[in-house]
Amino acid sequence: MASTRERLLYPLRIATLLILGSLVIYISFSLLPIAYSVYVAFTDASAKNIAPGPRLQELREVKAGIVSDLESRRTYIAGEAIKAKTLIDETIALLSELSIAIMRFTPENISIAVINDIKWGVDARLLEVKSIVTSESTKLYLDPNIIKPLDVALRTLDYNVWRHIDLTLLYNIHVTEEDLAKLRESVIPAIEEVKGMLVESSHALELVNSDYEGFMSRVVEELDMQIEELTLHFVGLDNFRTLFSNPRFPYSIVKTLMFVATSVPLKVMVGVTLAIIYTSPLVYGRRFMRGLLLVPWAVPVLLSVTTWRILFTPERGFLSLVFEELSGYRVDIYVNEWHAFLLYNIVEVWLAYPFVMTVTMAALASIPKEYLEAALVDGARTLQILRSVVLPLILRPIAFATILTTGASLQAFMIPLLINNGGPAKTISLPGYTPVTGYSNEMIVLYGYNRAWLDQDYGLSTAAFIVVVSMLLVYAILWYYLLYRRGWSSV
Amino acid sequence: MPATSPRTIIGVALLLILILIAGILLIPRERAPTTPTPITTPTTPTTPLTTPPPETPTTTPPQLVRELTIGTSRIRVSSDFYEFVSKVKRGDIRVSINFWTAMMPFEVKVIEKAVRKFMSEYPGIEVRYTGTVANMKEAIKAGIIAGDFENTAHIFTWAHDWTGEMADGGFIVSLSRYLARETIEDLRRGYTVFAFSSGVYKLELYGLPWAVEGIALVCNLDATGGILPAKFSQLEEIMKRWYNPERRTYGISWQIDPYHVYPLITAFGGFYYDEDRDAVGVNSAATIEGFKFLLSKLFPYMFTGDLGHEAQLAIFEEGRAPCIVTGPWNIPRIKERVAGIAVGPIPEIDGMQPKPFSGVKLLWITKAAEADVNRLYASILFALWFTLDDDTIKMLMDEAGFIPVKVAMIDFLRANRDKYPVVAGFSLALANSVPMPKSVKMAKVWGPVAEALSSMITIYNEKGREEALASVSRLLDEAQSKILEAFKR
Repeated sequence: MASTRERLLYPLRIATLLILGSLVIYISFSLLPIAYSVYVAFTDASAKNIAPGPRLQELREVKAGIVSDLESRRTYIAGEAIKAKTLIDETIALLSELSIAIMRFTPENISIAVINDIKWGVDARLLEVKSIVTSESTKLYLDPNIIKPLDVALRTLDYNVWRHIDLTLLYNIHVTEEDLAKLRESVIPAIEEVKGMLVESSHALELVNSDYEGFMSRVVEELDMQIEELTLHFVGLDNFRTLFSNPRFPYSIVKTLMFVATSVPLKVMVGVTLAIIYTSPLVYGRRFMRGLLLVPWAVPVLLSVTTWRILFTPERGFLSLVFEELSGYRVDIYVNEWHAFLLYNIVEVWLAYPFVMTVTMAALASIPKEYLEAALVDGARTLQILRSVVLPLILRPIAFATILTTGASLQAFMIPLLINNGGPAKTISLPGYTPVTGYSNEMIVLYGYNRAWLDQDYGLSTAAFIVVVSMLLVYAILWYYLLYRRGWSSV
Repeated sequence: MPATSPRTIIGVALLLILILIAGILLIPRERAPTTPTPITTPTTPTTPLTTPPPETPTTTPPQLVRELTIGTSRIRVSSDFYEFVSKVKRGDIRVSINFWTAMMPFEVKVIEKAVRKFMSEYPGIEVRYTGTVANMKEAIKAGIIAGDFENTAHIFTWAHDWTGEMADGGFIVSLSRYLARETIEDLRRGYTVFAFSSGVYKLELYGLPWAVEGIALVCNLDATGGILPAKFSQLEEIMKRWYNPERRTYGISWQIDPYHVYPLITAFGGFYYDEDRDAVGVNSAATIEGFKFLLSKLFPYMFTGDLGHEAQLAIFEEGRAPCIVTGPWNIPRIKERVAGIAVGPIPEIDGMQPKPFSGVKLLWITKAAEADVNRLYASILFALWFTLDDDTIKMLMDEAGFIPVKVAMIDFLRANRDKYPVVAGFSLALANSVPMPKSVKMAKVWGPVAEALSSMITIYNEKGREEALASVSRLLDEAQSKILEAFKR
């Protein structure tokens, strides 16, 4: 009977469908991304391998059939290599002619036509060489001994030979002996360099013919290397070791904890004080003012932090100027570590007090009037009522607000980023570490962000985020323990 | 009945495993390219990478080459491309392409005009232009990896330093594989050697250049007494005259970061990273000398309390400094506030020419366009038109101050220098520039150099010039070892 009732109450098929559906959603959209993010912290993720493009698949496909492909085309590829080699050798000869022509030029006998003839000769040959080398039918571009020197030679030729010649001879109507001397000084060594690279490439092309097996193994090796470069690798705890190998990250933790230690009491103090003031019936127009005080909550963080930065910009910021005028002391948020740190605190307080204030006001509203009246009847003074009646009654909501706002301070990011990107830079030193240069106010989350967006070191960046998440976890467990296990909740 | 029997536990465990597998299978994978839309003429310009090569291979397929007028230029193209162009001109083929940029509003307006002009010339092609794409590189990569070829950019533009990363990952298409050799030959002659070379990576042509950008010296001629200093000694005189911190006037405005100080480094023969030799030169003697020059010869005339972009630009705009070192991107804003500016190369230091970094703006075609041959050809046509049509390039120059790289336009600029003093000034200044490296390794270089430089600034401000000068070598040694360490990882 019982089982029949169970089936009626919980139709198994519907229950299974619901459970399956929710589990799939939970695992796919919640657990998998988290698991992947954690995994990235243990990899060598970089801009190249974190999201490899179509090239990786293409390389794998090429790799799969490369040996048989090269074997079957041995004669053809070797022939093409020799063709390319001949063209390169001709190019080298033309470049020698170019050197001679430049050496012989005087301001009176410069001939752009001679230069152009050589240039088009060189260009036509090199275009043909490029076409042979980069062709899919020869795969010569997969031999680093061919492509690397050729690539550098072509770039050097463009940047350091043709460009200088164009600038000195083509775009200059009155060429002087001095111009020519300068040209020789820069171009002749560049031509020699190009020739040297081309000789290397030519030699490598010759080797394709004389040692085809060697060429094949170089191609396979290169393919393996390119595939490796685009593949994500598990590196164990390497990223965490790197994080703690110098004082930058530990200092970032220290600075973040300092920020928590200074900003949280400030936020709570300001929020609670304002809540008490604006709950008092003695303050005229308190409802309107309360509304106004919630403005920082409504303004987008990006805008409000930028505004604060503008207000404190040295020499131009309104508040910076007022402060300097009044005190004779200059605020330097881009130079002084502690000036910037102070501004972070001010902005954090400004952003977070509405939250603490709202929570406190709600708690204040829930205090029964009778308690306050009883205290008054007993002859307690305002401060006594506040200390002995009001504060104990609102302590728990304040504690919760504090916990939440501490989490926000631990994750400080937008404020240091927008104010001065965690600067200024200085020598960071901590006991037991060799001092290094780094940003003195780079909070943990900002540190992680900079490693990802500046250095493109996603593994290291994620490892830093894992550390901050762990800190938050420890903090949450600690509070849970204190609140529920140690009976603080009964306060 | 027990609460949980071992069978139940096994059942739940199996279920979880099954769900996990289902979850993994649900993760979006790269979709197979959609079947190319057939066009009426056969189109096999070259062999794509993944297709097996022909049995009797030839290095370039024999192609009939025809001369085509694109914009105001004549260029040799393969016959099938020629046919395609004729058809889209008549509107016989209809195809749409997505064109993405990450530009400022004043630039977007001009590009929009150019796009409209292109569409009126080639009614068969609809260009869906998005001017300000946030996080463009990542958005393109994500679209291609997810196989969303319909909504991802088919063509986009940025400075050439993205080439390495995008080409190595296979996100952009090698034009060498689709353009006839004659087309490439004509293109090479059409642009400056320097600009064309910026689009070449590992011997293949990936991007077509349409503009160049970099920094130069911009002076308020009223403030300098009509002089645009060509030598550092002249600039120093002007700086001395202007520097008066009590009146909040300074000798020069110069945003200080590794990019903007590079001309001083190269003037002494220094460098950060040489991709040809795979060498890091951050602590080379010449680089150290460049940084020392900055601290000893420029900082004494500058406002070093805030060396950021906004503050330094404001100093110049408010007439509190006679000159600024900046790029064309700030010119429209400067022109609104400062009348009579002149632009020229950063002054020679004892006969040594400072060479700024230059970025050549390239048009790249993404893998998303490759799946459909019409779309691929439409993207190529747009890239060719955009970079070869003199009227468009002139419009870009007139209305947004883009510095051209097409040889014919540079000749036009030289002939009309008085009409285009700013663009011509930048063009001249950038003739002696160093192209930004294309290698992804450069990403590991910026951070440590920026840290060393910021630290020098902090020491300069807190402890003075001598201490800062004494720290240069140590800080750069440290930056060098950080970079080498990052390369190893």
